[in-house]
Amino acid sequence: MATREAGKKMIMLKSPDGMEFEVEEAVAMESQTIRKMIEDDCADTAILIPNINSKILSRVIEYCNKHVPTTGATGAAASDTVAPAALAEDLKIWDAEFIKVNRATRFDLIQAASYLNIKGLLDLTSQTTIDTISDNSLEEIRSFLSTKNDYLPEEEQTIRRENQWAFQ
Amino acid sequence: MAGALAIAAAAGSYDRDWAGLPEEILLMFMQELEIPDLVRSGAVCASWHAAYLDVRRHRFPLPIPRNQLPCLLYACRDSAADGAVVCCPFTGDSVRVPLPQPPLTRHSTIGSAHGWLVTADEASNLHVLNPITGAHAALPPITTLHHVESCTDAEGRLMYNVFEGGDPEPIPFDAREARDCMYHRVTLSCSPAAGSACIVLLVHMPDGELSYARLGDERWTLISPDDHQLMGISWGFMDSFYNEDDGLFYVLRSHRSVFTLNFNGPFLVVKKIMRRDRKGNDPSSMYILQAPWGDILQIWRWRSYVDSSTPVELPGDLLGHNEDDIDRYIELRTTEIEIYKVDLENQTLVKMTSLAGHALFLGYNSTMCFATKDFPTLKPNCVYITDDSYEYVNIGKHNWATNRSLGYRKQESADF
Repeated sequence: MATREAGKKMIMLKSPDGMEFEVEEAVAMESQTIRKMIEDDCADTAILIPNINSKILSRVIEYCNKHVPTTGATGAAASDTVAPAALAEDLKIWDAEFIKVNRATRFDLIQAASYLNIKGLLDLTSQTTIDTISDNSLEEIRSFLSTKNDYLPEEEQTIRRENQWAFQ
Repeated sequence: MAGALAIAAAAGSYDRDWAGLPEEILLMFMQELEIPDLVRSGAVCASWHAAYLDVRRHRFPLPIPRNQLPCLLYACRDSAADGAVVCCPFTGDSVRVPLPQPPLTRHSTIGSAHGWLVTADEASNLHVLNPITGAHAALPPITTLHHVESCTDAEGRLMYNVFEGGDPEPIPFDAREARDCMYHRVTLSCSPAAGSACIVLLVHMPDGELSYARLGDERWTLISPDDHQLMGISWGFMDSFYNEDDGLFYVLRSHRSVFTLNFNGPFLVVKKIMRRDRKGNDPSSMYILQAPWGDILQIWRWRSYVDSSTPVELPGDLLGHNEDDIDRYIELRTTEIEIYKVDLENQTLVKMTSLAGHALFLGYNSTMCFATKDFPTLKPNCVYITDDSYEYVNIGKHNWATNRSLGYRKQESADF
């Protein structure tokens, strides 16, 4: 674990598989869900994050570390001396790398971002899925998302017939 | 830091149940999608379909309703069989939509707002319908308007008698043709998807009277000076808009006076907020709207008939029938547009020489005003116009359809 400046308040996050992550309070508060817990004084010792395994939780913390406003200690880009535009550009590149994950991880990240209420992460993870839906045929969407077609053939026929224009 | 936290877990390649995503996440995806993508995503599986139906109920037609440029809905003879086209003339985006039931081709369009059309069927009764979702609701029948009663002609066909104020002899109208002149202007308080919360305000025959109905009402209710003395007279209204911020309808009368209608209490309250200010010749059309910067604007538009040098071509099925009744050289042109800011405090109208970098849309739909910096395809200080003279559009429809229906006019004086 990286060393911390003295005086910064740390919070312990626990995943259901038993891993513990010590993070700065400001980083943890990127999550509106955790922010509320802290503000309601429910975070004395450690916060258990249910349903989010250690692998996903570590990625979420990585994201929050990068996105916490300027006080973040994760690299030169987060320093006060860098122009805001350059900082935003750097974040965009970082985000694009961050989201290069397999579909299962992306699915878990969406769920985690939604549960932890981290808007930036939710937007980032959803956008890839929105792009997938926008650019592909129905069959490609199904196969890409590994979603089972649970329509009866005649039901699907009806949907296609009524909305033929959307399938051209 | 990231390295220290990385956990050597399974590659995560096992399948996730995308069909089982919580509905709020699905809804978030879907609200971002363009309409055809949305429809396709609704066909992925049953749970996505359920979410899709939810989005369709709550959000249509377009992702950012208040910032969406106006779209044209059209169906030509060839396309009528398999649908109509919704097209944005500024972006070039178009979507083919199935024609909703009842068949839109047999309805005439009276107005549009919030992505819905207000149409009149072949008995001149009004409907609201959403051309994209096909959602439809009937408004109260024409015969429940205060001035209208049904009758039959000598051959037993349905007719409507329209009574003008003071004249005991009604004017008879063919049931189908009444729609061509009965409805001058229609304003909706919100999307008809809101059900009975949606109030429909009509300006109608014989002389610009006001009637309203909530969606689901059985009758139109006339707004009459008998109940609202401030009105003075019942007629002379030209246009209205609904202000979402204060929940009031603003109605413009031909004398340039402005009234508000408040439907939020137990009784309708009518107030006069701007006195009459009659100057110059009466315009052919008048419009009222709230500009994005907050001011209430009155727009006066003059038109005149001119002789066109080339005759219009008539559709084949008219040749040999009543083609002699049609003046093929006549054309209605917009000659002048003036815009006034309503200064409520000083009770005056202030003539505007520029639209302050905005573009204005006038026509049968609700009048709209957009900042051109948000929409670079629009020209600043221009008024985009469609013909909305019901006389010309309905009675001279062949001239109208073939000559031109769209144009714009630069609204900027030399000294600005």
